Amino acid sequence: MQRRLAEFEKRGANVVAIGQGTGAEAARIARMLRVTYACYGDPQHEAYRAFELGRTGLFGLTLQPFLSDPAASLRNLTQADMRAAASPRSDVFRLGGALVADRAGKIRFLHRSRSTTDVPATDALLAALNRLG
Amino acid sequence: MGFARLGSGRAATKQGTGSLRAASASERETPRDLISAIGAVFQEAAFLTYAAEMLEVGAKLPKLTLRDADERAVSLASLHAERPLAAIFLRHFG
Repeated sequence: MQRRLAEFEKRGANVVAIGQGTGAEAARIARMLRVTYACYGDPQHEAYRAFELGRTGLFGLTLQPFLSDPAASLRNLTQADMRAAASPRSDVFRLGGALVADRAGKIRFLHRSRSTTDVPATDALLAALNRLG
Repeated sequence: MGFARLGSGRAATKQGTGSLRAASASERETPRDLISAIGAVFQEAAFLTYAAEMLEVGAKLPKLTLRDADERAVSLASLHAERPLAAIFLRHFG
């Protein structure tokens, strides 16, 4: 998303990331990932639960990513934030996702990752923004 | 948790259909295999009913409060009040 941030901005979108942990932890992850958009913390995982984001298991966290998508798996591992993962507020089994909502707060796109390597296509998010007109 | 239920439902379905397949291959199916497979199908159907109640496209965003870098409360509503919102949920690891 960071690489194509200009395309999101061109469509007038407010791009944000939501991370597990405190706001400071989310900001640290943002610096680590070198993202320039705002990152917010969700220390009680309320947002993750509200959007019913899934959880994987030990196999899904370790072996399955290597077997299904070795390149993405290695990339994830190099970007892994071990300090945050060790935090009691962190749930390493929790999967990610993405959404697009319009100004009225209506969800126009929602992706719940089904595995650690299942990342929503940036094009799909941009297409959802395009449909807002 | 929805996905946990989906996972268990699918696993059970797989196990159930797998049992059926294995049974038909060897012609050793038992009523217990059939009951297990039927149960798995119902379990999956129950998840689909549950899934239909999950937040989906077209629904309103829930009222949530996040924390900014200074630990100030930020409502989710404030993030889409002026512009459409594109949000990603990060994983901490892997």
